[in-house]
Amino acid sequence: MESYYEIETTCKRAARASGFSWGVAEEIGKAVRSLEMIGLPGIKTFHDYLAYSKKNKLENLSLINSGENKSENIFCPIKTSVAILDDCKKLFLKNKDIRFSKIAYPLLLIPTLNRVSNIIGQKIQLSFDEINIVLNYNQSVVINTQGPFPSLVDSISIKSIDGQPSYEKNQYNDLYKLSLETFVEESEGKLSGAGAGLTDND
Amino acid sequence: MKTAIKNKQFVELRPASEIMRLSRLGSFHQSKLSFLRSFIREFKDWEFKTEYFNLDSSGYGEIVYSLNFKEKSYSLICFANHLDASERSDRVIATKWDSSFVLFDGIPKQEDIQRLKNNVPLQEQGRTTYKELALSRANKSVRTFEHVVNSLAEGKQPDKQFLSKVGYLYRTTAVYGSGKFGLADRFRVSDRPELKGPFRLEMMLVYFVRKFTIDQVNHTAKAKNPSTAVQLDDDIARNLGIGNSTGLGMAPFIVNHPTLLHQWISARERALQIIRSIHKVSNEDIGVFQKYLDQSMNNMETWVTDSEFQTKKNNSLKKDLKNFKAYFNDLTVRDFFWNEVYLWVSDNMEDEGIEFIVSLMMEPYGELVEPLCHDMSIDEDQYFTIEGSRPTKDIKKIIENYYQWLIPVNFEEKENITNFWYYSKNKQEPRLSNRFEEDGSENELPLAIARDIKKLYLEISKFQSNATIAEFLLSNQELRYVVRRVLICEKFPYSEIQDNTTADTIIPIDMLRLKLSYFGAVRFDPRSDLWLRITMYQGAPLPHEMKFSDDSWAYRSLN
Repeated sequence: MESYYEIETTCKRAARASGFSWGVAEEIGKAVRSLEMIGLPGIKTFHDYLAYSKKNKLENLSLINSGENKSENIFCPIKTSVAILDDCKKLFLKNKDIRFSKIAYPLLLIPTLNRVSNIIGQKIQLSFDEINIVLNYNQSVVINTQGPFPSLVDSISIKSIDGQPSYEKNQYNDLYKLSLETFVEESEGKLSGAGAGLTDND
Repeated sequence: MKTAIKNKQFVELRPASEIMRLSRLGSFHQSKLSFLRSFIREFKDWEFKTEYFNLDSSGYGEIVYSLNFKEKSYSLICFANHLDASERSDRVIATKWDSSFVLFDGIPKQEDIQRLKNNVPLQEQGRTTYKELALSRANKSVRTFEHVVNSLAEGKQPDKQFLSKVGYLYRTTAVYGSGKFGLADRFRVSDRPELKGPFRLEMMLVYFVRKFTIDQVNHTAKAKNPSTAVQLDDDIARNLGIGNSTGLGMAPFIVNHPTLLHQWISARERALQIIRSIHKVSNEDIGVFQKYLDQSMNNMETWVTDSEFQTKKNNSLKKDLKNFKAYFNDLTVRDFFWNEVYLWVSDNMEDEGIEFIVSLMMEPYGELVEPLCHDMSIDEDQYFTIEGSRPTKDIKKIIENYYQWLIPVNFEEKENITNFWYYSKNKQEPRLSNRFEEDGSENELPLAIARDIKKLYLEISKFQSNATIAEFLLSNQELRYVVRRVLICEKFPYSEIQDNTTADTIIPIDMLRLKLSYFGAVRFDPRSDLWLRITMYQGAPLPHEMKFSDDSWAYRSLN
């Protein structure tokens, strides 16, 4: 089995050989490595994408200005994700939901959008077909399927989501109260010790 | 970054514009920061064991060594084979070697040894797994090996003078780690405290290999003549290192890892800054410096090279050190003594001499310098993402601040773009060729940094200054890799070599020398502009002496 270093290096070179600039090829190498590390089929998807892109004309992406992006052509997952990555702060300030019409191999968006999540400080929800993927600040990926993953989807939504808690407030409060049991009550004697006093709160 | 010293004086870090020229970087010497030395310091309390010894009378077979501390173990599995003289080549692409080695995480079982026996000697054609950490192969220096075996078999010690000319029994070629050929990726071990320093596993492998070479000569001599053979004297064994032939494959490493390069250089510069800022210097400290200066000058007499280039550098160093000694001997101890010494050195000595003295100045100050070794690694991925929302004018400004030297260079002129770096299909390594005489420049590696940053400068100067980097990149993705570098250089000023590595005047071995000096290599012996031989671990404690090491071994010699 190949090491992740070998996967990254080989995919970077393969991307370069397929016409990507060295800078974008570096992004691709890291993306495929990242997919493989989290157990998603990075090599297979990139391999199939390269074959597909040879046969099909993909959209030559210009600046993403709005939430709604439509084209006669199919969007390229690599050019799209790199364009979003580079402009993510501005893009997600203006748009909560960025949509694209037809896009090929959307799985390849995941690693780069996960980095975007970290940069903008918000989770990102990626949805296509029946698949939902939540990207958590480049720390983890939550996905509702083990595949198969489509090679082409008719629409895709990339939403920045505010970190809605997964719990009731009273559940957190219960735990907080319990945590107080590790604290020590201040006595008069302790209050005169080191640290700011009661009147020293300016 | 400034270090306050008494009397409110400051010693600045040396600027990148002074240090990052290739001629200066190619004059660096080993120091307390070198990886061979930090390996010995880190592992000196580990227990060394020979786990398995199975060599035949010719010295062929397998040996397993281990280093152990509490429940942790690392092992080296050595495979020694017969090799016909006609098959012996130190080239990376050679398919057969006298010996091959693999560093194993833990203690290998017999099935691991068998699996690796079927793969490791095959090198590039073999496969390893995440349980293996580093890989190498080595060839005998036949004349030295035979001389030692024959001498020991006859019951006498080998000729020290003869040995000092070579300095080793075996030469390794590349030492692979970090995911090559299926080996464990760096992230699998990077959180282990004992592996925090750069190339620690590779240094461990070479240290074990040195032990193997000594065991193999002793065993072979004994098998040759059991009644008369003697063991190699520890004083001689200790002064034998491991040779290494290093070619261009290593050169792009320092270009491909800009943040790491910064960490290495920065550690050295901070060490110098701290030492120059010492207010009161003791006579004891000066004594340590002087002792190592004398030993080094003595050792230099054993440096042998046929290279005109290196001979010139060595002679300049010897001449400068002679003048330096005269100056130093007359010097009275004053406040900020080392600062005064450094200023004299930088005004009166050539690059080789300046950097030699900088290394030597660290010797009395282990407590100040050694902790800097922990800052010599970095998580490079943290600095990979381009801040696309920044205005393009920032890029222009960074280039004007940090890459000023390349702005006047005309990359339309042939002499400035003579060479191109490529990845050789046959040799499976980066190589350098003349763009105007050889094919293949369409597959040039992204190593024409100066040319492409100048191109970036010209393109971005034409672009709207308030536009964002993201907007610029949409139509300029071919410059993406250098945009990334420029942004890295803003945070890490020692990340870039400030020379054109495609010019017809480039001396590639300067790039090798820089890296090898950080390894801790000595006896630089260029065999051409493109490759050189060096020695590692010469003088280092033998495994049973490691725990007594006081880190002074780099100055020992056979003389």
